[in-house]
This record gives sequence, structure tokens and C-alpha cells, in this order.
Amino acid sequence: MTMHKQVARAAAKPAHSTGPAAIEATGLVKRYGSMRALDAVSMRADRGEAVGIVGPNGAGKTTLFGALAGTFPVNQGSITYHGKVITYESAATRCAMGIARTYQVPRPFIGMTVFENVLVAARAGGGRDKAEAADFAAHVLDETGLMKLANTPAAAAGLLDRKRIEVARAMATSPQVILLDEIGGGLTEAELVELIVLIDTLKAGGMTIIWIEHILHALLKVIDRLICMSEGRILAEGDPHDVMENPAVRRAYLGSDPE
Amino acid sequence: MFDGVLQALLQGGLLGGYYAIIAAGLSLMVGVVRFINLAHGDMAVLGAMVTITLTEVGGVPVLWSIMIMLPAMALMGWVMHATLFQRAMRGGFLLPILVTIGLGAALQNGMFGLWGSNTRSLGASIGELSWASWILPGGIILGKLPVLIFVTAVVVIGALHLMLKKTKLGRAIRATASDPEAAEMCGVSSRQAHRAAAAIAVTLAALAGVFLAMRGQVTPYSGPAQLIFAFEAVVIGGIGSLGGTLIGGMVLGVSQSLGGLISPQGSLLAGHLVFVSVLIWRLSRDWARDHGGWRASLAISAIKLRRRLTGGAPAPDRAPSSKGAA
Repeated sequence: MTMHKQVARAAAKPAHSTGPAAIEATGLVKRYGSMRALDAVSMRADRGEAVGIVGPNGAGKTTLFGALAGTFPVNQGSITYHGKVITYESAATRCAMGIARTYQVPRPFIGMTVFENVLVAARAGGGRDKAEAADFAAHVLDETGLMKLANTPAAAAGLLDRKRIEVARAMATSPQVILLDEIGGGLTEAELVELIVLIDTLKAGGMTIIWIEHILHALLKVIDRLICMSEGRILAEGDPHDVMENPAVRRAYLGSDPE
Repeated sequence: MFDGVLQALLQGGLLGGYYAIIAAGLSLMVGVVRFINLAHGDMAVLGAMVTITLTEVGGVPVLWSIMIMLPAMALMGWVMHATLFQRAMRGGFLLPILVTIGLGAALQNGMFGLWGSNTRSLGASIGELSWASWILPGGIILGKLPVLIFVTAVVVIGALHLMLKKTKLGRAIRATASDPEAAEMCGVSSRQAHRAAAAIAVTLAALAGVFLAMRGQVTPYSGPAQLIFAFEAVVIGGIGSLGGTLIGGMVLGVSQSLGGLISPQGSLLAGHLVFVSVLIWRLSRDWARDHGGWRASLAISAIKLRRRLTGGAPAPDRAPSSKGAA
């Protein structure tokens, strides 16, 4: 058992480490009782890089996002953002520094319009003053195709629009790193294409993207590097196609042995 | 008789302004912070006691006393939340109740220790405002103080509504009320939003306490009764709705004053009865909504009741049958 853990830790060291990463996690451990949701996870994303994360349910992907975004405090390990240690900063502070995230199940603010949802993020997270925030929120609504819904209650939006609100709110905080949690799930193929266009725009704008996704073909269109997680550990990482060909990944994630 | 009812309606409606102010703070805490502060009434009394002391002992004019007391109470609300409520909220549903009951007891006994058990009032300090009135056609008497309190209630609740709707802090508070974690991810510190809401709530309680002491008397133990009135107004008006809280306060006030017409003891009883009726109505409406509407849910209930009365005859398809085996 101990041997096994040591091997896993050794394997989890970052693949390359040149210059400060946009965001870097080292040896993250998150325990829930006796279960280790994160078991010494180390990963990094460089500036402007798009990193995909795959793995079976319960692999610790969303827990990793919670740790990076600051919503779950970790038991061990450290997180740096552009070389600065942020392990103990609150989620709101990390957001103001430039880390944004979206949720797998969209969580719009109920009782607010779509515009207000984005405005909150533009003012609090983006640190803009009143007039500037309103202009920027409108700009983000244009980019995410939500302008026509601006003054409707967020609670009334459909699934695609709720996902767009998630992305719009994250964008409104002017992030440098954006964490996307299964943003493509539950969408039709046509809707997915629209979403990929939007994410490509973010990437073209120089944003660092970390994207958890089960829909591989969508993920592979955008990402530069792929990480596969399983049981709280990093199983493999590197070139997306190499990772998907890795026998351990195929066993854990696809549930099948390579032919 | 008619004049008496009209008078009671008017006075009750105006009294509702007082209830609305004390209830607005409670409503904000329940609706936004999801925290029930059972010491809310005691904080109202503390506000009154501080104002009375500043005026009577310090010789500060009443208006200035209030202006000094309100920010101090806001600060106290902020600190209370940062030190006590925030921790209590992390400890499950029972801890906030125990902590705020304890806080209420500490406040009551602390005030008793400081100021003794005598009844105190601001009535003497506000001169003719405490009894002056307008006489309307038909002999209807309209007290100037109740009108002032009611107007203040409308202004305060309107301002609070605008603040929540239009300002950065208001949106932060509403975002936090909807989803604290998602709000954090938008850069809103949910702790700061909660502390701000607690500061506003305690300020409103203290303002209500001042009006209570202007209208009549307070003792260190007046708080729990005010808490009950505040809860009743919040529930009648609907939790989380500020406009509803104003209406809830007025309904409570009118019920009490109409009850007072029936018998001198009827006043409080009538208020409580209206509260219980509204509560039962809301619960049964929700029950009916979750069971396919009134007609369907009542029909099923009637069938269930009949079965119970007739000895619970088993349903036909559950009866043992030899044919069923094949």
C-alpha cells in the first residue's frame, strides 16, 4: 500500500517546469473522512495553455477545481498563481486575482436578471467602477450571445443559456485562468459547436483554460494537453492523443482494454 | 360603531409601520443570511436603552442620540456576525438557535444589571410629539407620532429595497442569498455580504426599539415579545419580501386593533390568531399544490379517511388470490 502511494506520488510530479505557470498545484491532498478525493495531485497550466481533464466519475476532477478556485480548503499541498502562493486565499480573493470557474450544473443567481448576474461579476470580481462595469457586462453579453435575454430573469433561462450565463459571469471577472466544469454536458451537437466557438475565442484572447469534459471530441478540438485522473490521482498527462492511447487510461476511463 | 372601526383600522395600519421596521431586519437575516437571530427583539430594546441613556443622562438631544446610537448598533451587528453568528452558522441548525437564545438572555440580564428593571420611556423627551394629533373630519384622531413612525417605515423599507436592487452591495447581498459559493466565484465575499446584512438588520431593530420607547415603555425584558411580533409580520407578509413585510406588519397591527375593539384582552390574541391562520393557509396551499391541486388532494384524503374509519379494507388488487399465481 505504502509502496503503491509512493509510486503514484512520483508519477504525479509535473511533466515540465519552465518559468512560473499561470496556475500550479503541488501535492494536493483532500480527505473526506478516510476517503482521499485528491491524493497528492500535482498539475500546472502555462499562460495561454488549454488543458483538458478527463476521468471517470469520482476521480476527483471537480474536487480539484474546488481546490484551485478556493471553495474547498485542501488538507495538504500548495497552489501558486503566476508564482504567488494562493493556497490560503478565499475564493473571492482568487477570483479578484484572475481565477474564474463555471459549474457543471449552472448556478445562476435566482431573483436577478441575466444582466445583473453578469454585472455582479463585473463589479465585484472584475473590480470595475459602476459605469465601466455596466459597459463591460453588456460587452460580455454580446460576446456570449445573451444580449437578447439581458433583462429576463436568469431563473427562466434554458440549459444552453444557463451555461452561457456561467461562462459570461466567469468572463465578466476578467480572468486570466478559467476553469470550465463539464460545460458541454447536456447540450445538443449544434449547441456544442457554438460553445466550442466561444471557448476558442477565449483561448485566442490568451486566456489559460482548464476544462473538465466527458465529451472528448469537443475537448480535443480546443486543448493543447490532456490530464487523466482516476481515484484522486493523475493517471497520465501529455499530448491528448497519447494520453487517450495510454492503456491505463483506457482501462480506467473507457472501461476497456486496448485491442 | 363605524367610527370606532375606522379609527381602529387607521391606528392598526399605522402601528403596522413599527412592526414593519422591526420585521424588516429579521426578514433580511432570514431571507438573505439564512440565519435566525432570536436576540433580534433584545437588540431593539438595547437600542432604546442606549438612546434613553444618552438623552436622559448625557443630555444629548433625542435626534442626536439616535444618530449616535444607530451607527454604534450597526457596528455591533457587524462584529456580532463576524465573531458569533458566522461560527454558529457552521455548526448545523441547532447551534444558531442556542447561541442567539443565549445572546438574548445575556443582553436582557446585562441591561437589567446596567439599568435595573424599571420601565423606561422616551415619551417625556420628545415633548408634544408623544401625544399631539390631528383631528380628521368625523372625529377620527390621527396621532402625529404613529404617522411619523409609519412614514419612516415606508421610507426605510423603500430605501432598503432600492439599496438591494440598485447598489453594488445590494447585488452582492442578493447574489450571496441565492448561492454563496457561486457568489464567491464572482468575486463577492459572502462573509462581507452577510456581515453587512447583519449590520443593517441590527440597525433596523434598534430604530424600531427607539420608536417602541417613544410610543410607550420598555424594560430589559421587552425584547422577546417584540421578536414574536416581528416573526408574525414576516410570516404574514411572506419571507424574503420587503414589501410583504410592510403589508404583514400592517395586517398584524390592524388585527390587533380590531381585536382590541372586541375585548381589551382581544388585541394580542387577534394578532396571534391571524398569524396562525395565515400560516395554516400557506402550509395547506403548498400541500395542495404538491398533491395535484385542492380538488384531487381533498378527494384522495376523503378516500383515505373513509378507509381508516371503515377498518382499512385492503385494496382489491392486493387481496390474496389463487388466480394471481399463474
